Amino acid sequence: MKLFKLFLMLSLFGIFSCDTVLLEPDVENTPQTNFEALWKDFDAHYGLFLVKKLDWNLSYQTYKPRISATSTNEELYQVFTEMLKPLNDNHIRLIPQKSTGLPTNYISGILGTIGPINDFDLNILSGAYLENVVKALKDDEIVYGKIKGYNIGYIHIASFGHVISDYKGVLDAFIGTYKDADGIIVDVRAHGGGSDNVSQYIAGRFASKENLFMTMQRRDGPKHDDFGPIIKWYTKPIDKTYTGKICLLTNRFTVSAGETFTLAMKVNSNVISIGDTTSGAFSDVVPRELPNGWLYTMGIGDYRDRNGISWEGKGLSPDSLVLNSKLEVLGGVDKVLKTAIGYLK
Amino acid sequence: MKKICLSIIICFCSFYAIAQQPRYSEPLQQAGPQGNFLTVVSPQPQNYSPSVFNGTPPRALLAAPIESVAKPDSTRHNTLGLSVGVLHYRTVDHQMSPLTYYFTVPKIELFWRKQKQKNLIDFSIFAGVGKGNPKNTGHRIYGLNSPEDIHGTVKEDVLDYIPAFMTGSLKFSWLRKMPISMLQSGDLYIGAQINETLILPGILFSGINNMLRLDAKIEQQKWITPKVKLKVAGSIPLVGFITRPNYSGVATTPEKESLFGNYFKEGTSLTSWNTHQAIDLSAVVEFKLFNRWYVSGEYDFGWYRISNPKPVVAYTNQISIISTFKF
Repeated sequence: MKLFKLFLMLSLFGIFSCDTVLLEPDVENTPQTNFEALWKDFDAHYGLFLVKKLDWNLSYQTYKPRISATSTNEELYQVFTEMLKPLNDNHIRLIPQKSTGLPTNYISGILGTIGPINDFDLNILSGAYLENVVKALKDDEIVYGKIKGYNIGYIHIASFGHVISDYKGVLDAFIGTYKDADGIIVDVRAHGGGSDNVSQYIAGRFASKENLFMTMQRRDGPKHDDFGPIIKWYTKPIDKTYTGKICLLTNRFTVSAGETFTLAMKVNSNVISIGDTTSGAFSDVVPRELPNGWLYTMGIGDYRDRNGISWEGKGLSPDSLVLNSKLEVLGGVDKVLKTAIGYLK
Repeated sequence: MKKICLSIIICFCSFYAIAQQPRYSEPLQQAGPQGNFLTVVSPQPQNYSPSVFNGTPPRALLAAPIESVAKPDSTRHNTLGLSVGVLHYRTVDHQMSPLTYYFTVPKIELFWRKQKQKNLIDFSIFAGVGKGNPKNTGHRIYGLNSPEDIHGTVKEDVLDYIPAFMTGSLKFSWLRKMPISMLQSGDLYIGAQINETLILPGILFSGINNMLRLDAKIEQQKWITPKVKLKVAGSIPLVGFITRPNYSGVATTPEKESLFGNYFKEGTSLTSWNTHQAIDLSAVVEFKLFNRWYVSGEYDFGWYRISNPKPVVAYTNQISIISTFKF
């Protein structure tokens, strides 16, 4: 019986040992602890303090006094968004739980303020300008076809959310179909981002030689200038390529991996870019959460073009700035696309 | 830290106390001097064990019929087992979140044991899959509205965030039976274990903790009654390759299709007790059903801590029922 008692003791010890003993005391969910958690996590991991030239300690001194034990969710949200706003980063998002009734998806950068996508609509464009339309991958991530009346291929890529092997077949088919075209329009307007590997791969399908297009470093320590080694990214011709004239179309909603793709395409001499400046958020992003359960995201890297220039918060300007108005787009006119057609025909 | 040390000491004391209990005899088939086996008609609460039969066995035992070598419950046999149960996992992983997460998931384990006269060889494969939530905030829903399109339509995406937990392990252990004179009770085995454990807590959709370790392991077996056997085991890591997310939380992958390889390349380090501490304890009570079939109840407790790049601490409680076949 003693054995059973000891066995029972051992079992009960494990089952009922509290988290305080075996893990550590739970972090308190108070306005102050939430503020501290957010500020400290950015301090330890955000990759762009040097680029943004922001005194993060000053932010602490400015906003900490506004938080008290009695601060409401609304007040906490207000302080957080004010503190994050100067970072001007489309990768910084604050996402309270839906049950709080607060705005669902705060964005620190320009995408948080410019409102809806008024300069582009793929359905309208497709109906007005395309024939032989093919939709590929989940959620029609890739749509391609022929520009009506011209020997020009068109491909729109909405994001890089799949693995490279998924794109290979689609691009083989597209490039195979339009290999003799006068030119190709690669449209990454309203591109939501995804994997940089995919952007590198797809740019390689339009490359004629190997080119450095980007360098990146990631935070690897608590100081703002603690970074890992510089990693160089190259485009190089891969699989079946198209190396004729190419127009790359961008707008303010070309984000993240859409922008690293733009960097990769722009180093090819056969590519010109038309449209609007891109979003200005290149880095890899990590999700985090606060003691109160709110989610937030931040960039942890410092991405630069091949000349060592950071375009974070600025975006990549097109070679030819052409802006659509909402009325034009709703009326079936895409000036950006028409400019590209005019260049390629 | 003091509390954790105290917990470990208590566990070890419990284990040691069990090991020191007065022992009953191994009641059924025992190894004879020629490798044959003898059946005991009724168990005798005397201090003898298979290992003391180096000479002539007691005369009382010779009255029993001689059995075949492959008889179950001999000192040499194989065991195949299937274990099903519930695993409760709690963790705080500061690399991902300040919150304490808990997961209660079903588990399944297959194992094979080869018991020889002087050593034990174990091989097991284990898996558990389920879902969990933070302890304090519980289940959470987020709205992730897409930008309004040109027609004024807002696509409302709702993120129903329930972390999906997955774990699996492969273990191979070799234990040597200690000379019985060293302890007064039961059969004590000490040896080593190769332990490959993979844990995907699914917290914020990222992060794998992988432990490929060499453990020191100890196991005490004891017959409580003729049909009931108690096995208590414990292990601690000696050295291992531990994989965690790198500091930034994102693996580097230029010109590679998968993050997986670089995740392990960048996040793996050779560690010992300076950065990785762990303990596993288990207790099994085994009942003989009939012929070669046995059923067991098992309780398992595990705790680990990894310091880098930011600390993760976790513990598990498992309760299982095991069906075994010995041959």
